This record gives sequence, structure tokens and C-alpha cells, in this order.
Amino acid sequence: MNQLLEVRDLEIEFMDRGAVTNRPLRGVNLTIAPGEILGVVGETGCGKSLTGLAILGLLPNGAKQLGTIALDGTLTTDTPHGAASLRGKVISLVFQNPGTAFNPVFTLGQQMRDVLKRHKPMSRAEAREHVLRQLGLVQLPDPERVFDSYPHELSGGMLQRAMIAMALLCEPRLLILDEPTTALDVTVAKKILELILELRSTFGFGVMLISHNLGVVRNICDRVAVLYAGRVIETGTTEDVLASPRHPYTRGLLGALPGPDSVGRPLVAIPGSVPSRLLGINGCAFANRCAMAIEQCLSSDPTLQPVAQDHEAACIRSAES
Amino acid sequence: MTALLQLTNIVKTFRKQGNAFHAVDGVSLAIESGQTFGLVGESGSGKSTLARCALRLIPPTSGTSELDGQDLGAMSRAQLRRARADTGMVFQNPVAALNPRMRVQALVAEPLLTHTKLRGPALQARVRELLDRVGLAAEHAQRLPHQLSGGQCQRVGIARALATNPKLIVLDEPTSALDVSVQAQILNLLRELREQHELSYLLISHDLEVVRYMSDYVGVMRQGQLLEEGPSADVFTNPRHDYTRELLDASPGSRRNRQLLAGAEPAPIHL
Repeated sequence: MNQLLEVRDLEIEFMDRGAVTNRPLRGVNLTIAPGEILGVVGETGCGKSLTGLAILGLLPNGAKQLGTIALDGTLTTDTPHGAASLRGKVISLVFQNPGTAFNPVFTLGQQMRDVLKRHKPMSRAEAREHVLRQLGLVQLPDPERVFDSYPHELSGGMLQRAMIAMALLCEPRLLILDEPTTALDVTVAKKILELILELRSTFGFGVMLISHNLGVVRNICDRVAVLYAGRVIETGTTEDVLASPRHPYTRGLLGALPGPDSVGRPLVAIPGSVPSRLLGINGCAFANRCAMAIEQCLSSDPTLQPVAQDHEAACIRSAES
Repeated sequence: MTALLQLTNIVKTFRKQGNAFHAVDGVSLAIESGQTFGLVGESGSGKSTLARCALRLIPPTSGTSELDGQDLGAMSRAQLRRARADTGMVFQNPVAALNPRMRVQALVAEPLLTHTKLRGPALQARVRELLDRVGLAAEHAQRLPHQLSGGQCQRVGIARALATNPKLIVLDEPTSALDVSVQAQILNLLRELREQHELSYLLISHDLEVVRYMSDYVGVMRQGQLLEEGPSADVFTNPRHDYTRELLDASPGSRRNRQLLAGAEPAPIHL
């Protein structure tokens, strides 16, 4: 099967004066098929956003990247400008906070036209037409008004729609959504998710949805990858992973969510927090927070193993649950 | 029996360039001792403004707020300060709510210096006791806020709110800046503290599942008005107002929402 995105053994190291100071990604493997929505979940500091940035070629200075990222069969890691030449055209990004992601001193129309200027040379009038069509596509009422508006004149939901319109200007094959609804009210968030599903049906682009909200992931993702301490520790179809999680961390994330059934009982919290420095970890990185940890967990470093059809988990005790 | 907190017809109007904006538009509610009242609604619905009026952090345009049967609006400044020792507040952004240049020890001691006569070793002991109660170790006392995680900062915020042995704590989106795993730790802590200290909470949140989990009573706000209120179980299982139903449907965990979205067309290209 031809994958749209194939991330293999992606490692990121932060260097300071020749020495490795941290290794926030420790071998991430991900694939996204054309038209597929992959949810990437995990706590703050697990490496979700960093994975997205690496795919976009937007890593900060001082970050050293190992492993390969292939977009549509082309390795982006071969040349220093690899991902930069694909950005906007083949792959684009929607940020978490629509209120701060736009430049406040230019109108939305100007900012969107700039994207076209960079990637698809056309006349001003044509560019305007194209942008207006795009704004209509994301179901913004009165595209003309939005075109001439400054970011502060629109609501968060409208801005997020405009941002999606901007990300789709050059018909990318892969859209990375970094917490697209976290800053929005639930009713607005629901409409944005519906819009994403609808546009995906029309255009068939693949989506990497980064979120810490398992509810959002459950609603729109085809597959899920759970990240912990810079590695994918469980992956599979959304239904399988959320209905029968096999890694204790995934179970912990699900158990921590209050729901109708948890009223009157304490929530099952995961004790402790994500390790911030990921160097010199022997064994399973989750072992010190895991209720199921045994002595072997401290020495053997589990890799992703199939636990069912199209469902993998990285836990030596995954067979027991 | 008088309610611990009784809000009667609270109105708060903001004026800007001659335009009046009714942030809170005639809200009455009562919180009984030991109860948690959850206030839900979207941003801009007036939840936080109502909470601020309730503790008289800002004066309401009209209406009264009575704590333990005493009208906060009729009090002198000194009386109001004493009454406020019976209340506490926990804020949304746990890091921003703490003075970045004060150590945890000083942050937790601050309300004690304002409201009690504890000084010296007795003060230190009380701070240690409070830190212990919110699950922080003695070593955390000498840290600065930026040296703590978001969850730990929120624990400091809770310790500050608890310091004066309040009867009522206002929790304004206490976990919305936190990861779900840390949120679970904080919600568990808040429940434990409520039982140990017979606290009442006014919990503000846009997360319906958090409100359902924590609250005995629920109020739904929109555009400054309380649309619906009642026992938590009733409101969540049998919402009477259309807007409440809409909110429940939009909640990411909602079963109805899941079905609706599951019905959307799959991608045409699925090789």
C-alpha cells in the first residue's frame, strides 16, 4: 500500500556545545494513508507537536534529526530544504490558537493572497477570486467581509475556519492539525470537526490530528497513535484502541476522563508526570508510573508488537489484559 | 435553613462608549453548605463575571450576594475583608495566578499573613500542613512557580485558597489548562478536600463532563442568564432547555455526537 506519510525511526536530539542534552523523540514510527485521519494523542511533553514540526521541517535550531520522513514517497530528510519546498503545497498546518496564529496587522485576505503569491503565481484579481472561493468552501458567511477583516474582528470559530481555508489554498495532500479545537467552545468545536470531515470527503487529503482530547479523537479519527516519552506506545484503529486499549498508559488516559459512569467514584489518575529528560532510560519509560510494572519492565525496552489485527502495543504485559 | 451563598437577581452591566453590555442579566442561585454548584456555559456567557460578583471582587450593578446570611454589599471594607477569609478562589491558569518571583512558601503564607495572626514557627507549620494536604512535599516550599509543573502550580493555588479554612471556594476553570491525567489528580484532590473540610464549591467550567463529575447542582448560563438549573443528575439526563441539549450533544464525549459524526461519509480515496 502506498502511504501518504511514512515516518520511520524518527529521533530528535537537542544539542548544546556538542553534547546531547535531551532526546525528546526516541524512534517514532507513523504512517498515514491518503484520505486517512490519524489521531496523535498523549500528554504535554510526549512529543506530539515536535513530531508535527519535524514532518513540516520546522524544528528549532540545535535540534538534530535522525530517521526518515517520506511524504508521498519522497524523502524529505534527503535535502536541507526538503520539507520547506513541500510546505504549503503538499503539506500544511493549522495551529491551536487561531487568535494568535494570524498576523494582527494585515487583513486575512492579504495574508491568504501571500500564500498564493509564494506557491501559485497568479494575478491579484485571480488570487482574490481564489481566496474568496476558498473562504466560501469553509462555510464562512460573507467571504468578502472576511477577506477585508483583520483577525481581531472575527470570532475564534470564524478564524479557525479561515485558517483551514488558508491551509487548503494549494490543495495539500496532508493537513496537520495541532489541537485545532482546544481554544474553542464545544459547540463551535463540533462544527469545526464536522467541517474537517466534510472537506476530507471532498478533497481526500490525509490528516494528522494532534490532540490531548480523546473525545475529539474518538469522534473523527480513523486510526490513533498514542505517544509517550517520544515514542508510539500503542497504535491501531480508533475503535480498537479506545475500546480495548492494551497499553497501561492508554488505559490510564481513558480512565482519567470523567464520564457518566465515573460520577461518585474517584477518577483513575496516572500518578506522577511525563519525564522531561529522556536520556539514559533503560527499560520501559512508563514503568515508574505504571501500576502493572514488574521487575522486567525496568530492564527490557519494549517495542511495538502486534496484539490483534491492525493493533500494536509496546508493553511486555500487553497480552495479559 | 439559610444557604451558604445566596445570590439574588445579580446584574452586571459594563458600559463602553455609551453601549451597555449586560454580562450578567438577573441571576439568582443558592449554594447550600457542603454542596458543589457547577456553572456551565460558553465563553462570554457571564460565568466568571457572576463568580466575581458573588465574592464582590467586582461590585454588581444591582442584586445582592449573601454569604452565610450576611449581605456582602452592605459591609464596610474591614467587614468585607473578614468575610472574604471564609472564601477562596482558584484560577484557570495556574502558572499565571502565582507571583513568579515568590517562592511556594511565601505564596501559601500570603493569605495567612493577611487574614490570621499566625507568625513565625506557627506560620511555617501551617504552610507545611497545607502543602502536605494538597500533595506537595516539603522540598517544594523553596521552589519558584516556573520550577513547578502546571499541576503542581494548581496545587499551590488550592493550598492558598484553603489557607484560611474557607467555607466556600470558587473554582474558575480549575483544570482546563491541564492534561487529562493531571486533571484527574486535581479533581480527585478537590473531592477529597471537600469531604475532609466540608467545603462548598462554586465550579465554573465549559467542560460538561467535569461539571457532571463534580457537581450536586448545575446551572447553565448563556448571554448572562441562567437558562436552567437543577440537580446534576436531572439536568444531564433530562435537559429541559434546548440550549442545554445542544451543549450536551456537542460535548466530545457525548454518545449522540459520536453517532452523528460516525454517520459522515468516509473518504472517497481509501487505497
